Amino acid sequence: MEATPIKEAALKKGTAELLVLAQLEQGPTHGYDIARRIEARSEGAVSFNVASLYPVLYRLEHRKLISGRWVEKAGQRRRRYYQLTPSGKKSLAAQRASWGAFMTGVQRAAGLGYA
Amino acid sequence: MRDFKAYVRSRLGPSGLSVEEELKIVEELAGQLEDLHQSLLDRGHSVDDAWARVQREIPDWDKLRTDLVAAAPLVERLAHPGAAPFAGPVKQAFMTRLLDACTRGALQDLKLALRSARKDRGFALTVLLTLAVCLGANAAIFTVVYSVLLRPLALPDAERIVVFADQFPTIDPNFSLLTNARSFFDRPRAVPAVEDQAMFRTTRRAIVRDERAEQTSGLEVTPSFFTLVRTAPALGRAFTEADAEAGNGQRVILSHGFWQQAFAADPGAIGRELELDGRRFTIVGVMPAGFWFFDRDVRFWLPLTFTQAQRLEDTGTTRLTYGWYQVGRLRPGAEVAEAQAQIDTLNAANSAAFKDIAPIWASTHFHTIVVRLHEALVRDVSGILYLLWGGAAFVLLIGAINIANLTLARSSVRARELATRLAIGASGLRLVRLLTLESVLLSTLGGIVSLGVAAAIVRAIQAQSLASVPNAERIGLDWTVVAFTLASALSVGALIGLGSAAGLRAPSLSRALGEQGKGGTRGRGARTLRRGLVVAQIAISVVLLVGAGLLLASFRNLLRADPGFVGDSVLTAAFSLPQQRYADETALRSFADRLLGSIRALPGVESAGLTSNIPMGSYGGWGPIIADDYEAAPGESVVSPWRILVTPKYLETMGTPLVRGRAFDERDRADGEHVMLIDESLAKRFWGDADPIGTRMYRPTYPDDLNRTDEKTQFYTVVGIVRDVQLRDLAGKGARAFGSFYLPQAQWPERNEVIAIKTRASPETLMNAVRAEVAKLDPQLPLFDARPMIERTDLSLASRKLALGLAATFGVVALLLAALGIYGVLAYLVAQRRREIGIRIALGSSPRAVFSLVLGEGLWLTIAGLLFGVAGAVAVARGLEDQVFGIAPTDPVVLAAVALVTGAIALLACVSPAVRATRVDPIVVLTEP
Repeated sequence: MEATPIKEAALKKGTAELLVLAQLEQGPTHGYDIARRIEARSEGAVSFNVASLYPVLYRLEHRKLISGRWVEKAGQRRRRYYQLTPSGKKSLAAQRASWGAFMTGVQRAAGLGYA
Repeated sequence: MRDFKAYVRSRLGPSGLSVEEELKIVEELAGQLEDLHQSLLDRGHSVDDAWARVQREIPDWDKLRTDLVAAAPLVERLAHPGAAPFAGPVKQAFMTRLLDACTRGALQDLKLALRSARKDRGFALTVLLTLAVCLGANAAIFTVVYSVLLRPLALPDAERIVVFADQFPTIDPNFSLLTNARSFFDRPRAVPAVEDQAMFRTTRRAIVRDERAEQTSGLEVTPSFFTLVRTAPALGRAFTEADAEAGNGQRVILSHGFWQQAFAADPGAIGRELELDGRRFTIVGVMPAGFWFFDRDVRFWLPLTFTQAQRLEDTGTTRLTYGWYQVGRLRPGAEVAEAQAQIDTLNAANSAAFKDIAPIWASTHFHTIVVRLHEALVRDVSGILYLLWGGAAFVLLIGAINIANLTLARSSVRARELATRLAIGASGLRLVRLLTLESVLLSTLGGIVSLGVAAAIVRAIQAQSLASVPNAERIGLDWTVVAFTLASALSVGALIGLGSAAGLRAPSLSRALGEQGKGGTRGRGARTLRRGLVVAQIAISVVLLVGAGLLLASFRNLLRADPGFVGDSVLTAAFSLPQQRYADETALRSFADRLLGSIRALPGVESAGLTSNIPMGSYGGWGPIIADDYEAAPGESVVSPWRILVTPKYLETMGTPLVRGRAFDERDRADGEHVMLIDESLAKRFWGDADPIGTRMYRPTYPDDLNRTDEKTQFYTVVGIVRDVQLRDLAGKGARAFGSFYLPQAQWPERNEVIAIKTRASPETLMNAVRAEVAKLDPQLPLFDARPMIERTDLSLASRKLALGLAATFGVVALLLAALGIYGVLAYLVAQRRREIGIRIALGSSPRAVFSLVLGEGLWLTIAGLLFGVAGAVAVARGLEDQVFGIAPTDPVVLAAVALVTGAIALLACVSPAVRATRVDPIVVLTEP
């Protein structure tokens, strides 16, 4: 079944943090790359524009779940690279657990099958 | 190449976040948009396509901004005054940000301020100590000024109560509060500016409790008194007109404290009886707790009764006998000037109406002064208190100048640090707040410590016996003073902070960055200001020290002045023989003789005598006297010296030397010739240098003709002249216009006595023995005010000593602060001109030359300060006239001494910077970047 791109703001909003944290689990990267990874790994079902993604990054950084630093590579403009903090890792695990439970419940209740 | 940052900045707009934060957001957003743009280009889109897509990436910039602001933590919120107009949730966010900015940012700044204070401990400590001392002194003096002078009396609307004070300047140059009995009957009608009026008299009665008789103070008051003070008794009732009728039974009202002590606060005390001087009085009321009027020691009130003559007749006797106080309450809207005018009119009318009394009024320059009661009570001390307050204020000024200079010097050093802060995004407002917070923090701490200093000073003041200072018992730190001190501390801190911030305007900051921290408060203007301030400090110190020096010299003169008696080894005690048990002259005489007899028999007693007026006491009366062979010119004022009744040997006991003739002795008995002694002043007044022994004086009884005598006139023959005696104050305050005369008690027995005993024995044992002897003769007679003569003299000097102590302290503190000031300025100058000094040394200047250069600078400043100071001291000399004794306020010796000491200390303070200048190493200085 082809997945329709999920545009419902509410859904996206609720999962944004989880998605961002999960991307950083694989290693530090910059903001645009995070958006690209989400789009790629969800196979286009979930995509964030800068307006939606950046506030999430901003908030996560200020809550110290991720830490950002400027990195200047030769010949490029400097980019801000984010990485998970220990509390970020904990939060990611917690959010995975609760989302996992929620999704299982919804699947059962709504009669969703496996894709 | 598109400027993504500019694009983002223009679309995002001001967020109200801090500069750093905005920079970060703008850069990140621009970066992500640029990444998107580049990736589109990489995938083959056209530039316009890519750009259009980028623009669609952020559809709602307002929402983005809101989200970011909402996500920003409290840490970074700083009010941005230029933000776009807000509404709704954005406004709410803004207001929250604002509140957080004020508090959280301030908290951060506070931490920074603490850190910088800890770093620069020397500076902080100096500022703290200076403030503590200066503010403490001011708070202490303000406490005294407030408690004694400014705080209103504890009565409803106390400031509207006035006193009618009659003055007879040619007889008594001091300000008197008294009036005569007739005033009660004609003034109320003639002075409508006053709505209530009352008369009262002080009285002392013996009250026996627990078989001990104690002399207790009270007031005799007209029933209108209670209306006047707007206070009714808490228990029972006030006096009625009926109570005041002579012979209408005895009534008494008690003070709350006395009722608690004597009757254990029993409400059934009303109706019971109390014995005063052996007579029974019925208690009809008890005043409320805390009530006091005129005298804190008053324990009871009695109705004041007037004689028939006083009610109805206007004679020399009723109009010229003094001893009452008259107070009134100003009608709402009326002022003192109005009452004064009305009283003057009445006095003029009385002069026209009473032709036989008028000459006395005219010749003595009689007039009545209407003055607020509070003012009248503190008249004597207000002058010195305000002077001391001025002195303390000057000390604070000197201290503040020091702190300002220190802060300016320090902030120029910090210019680099502050410039850096500005560059990385702190707003100018924030910097000002930081600087102000630093100085406010220090000054508040200084203010708190100063309260401790003030408390210590106040306690030292309270330890002095301040009987002569009115309201002295009210002196104590209270919330007004605390508030005043903390407010002063905060204002000083804020002023200095703002001042030092103002000194760091942007241009000077960039100069500072370029000049590596040496700039900021450099420049001709600043230097002249600094020098001027130091000169001012030295000048003010000189003025203060001259004041202290004058007070010191006056005090020494007072101690050296001849008071006319020798108080060493003399004990005194007072007693009052009540009418009840000593009705006639024989009884009085008999008691006096027996008492003296038994006292003289006591072991260790060298001599003893009785007097009606002991020096440095508050007893005794006066009376008119004139020489028989003296022709008073028409309109000449009557002479009314102290009239002192003494027993033989009294003057000997007191060590008052006999100048001519003889003293009183056994010859002068009741049936003998009436004799008198006069003092030198009185002798000079009537006889000049001629010998008056053997001539007679008499008491003039006809106010309109002092020379007129008749068969009833009392004559006295002068048998001796004695040295002048200071009866009230060593400086002569409180003295009558022309000395005293003495009459023998054998011929004029006295009821109110003070016994003087010369003895080498210990005062305590002797006093106990004396009490025992008195008790033997009359167990119900209390002895009061018992103290050695030396103690009386000390008490009379107490307030002067205190003023001297305070003035001296201020002067010394001021001088030390000024020395610190000049040291600071010179040290700073040396630091500033190190290059120049280094060059000089390199070119061959000797250390001595460099030393003289710096010291010379200090010398000029000192000399300028001394000149201004001496000029200033001379200018304020007039204000000190009342306080000095035996010395002119512009005494050149004091001026010279102060100038010398101040100059020496100031120059001493210059030595250290001068020495440091000689140690400047030219190589180090010249190779500095």
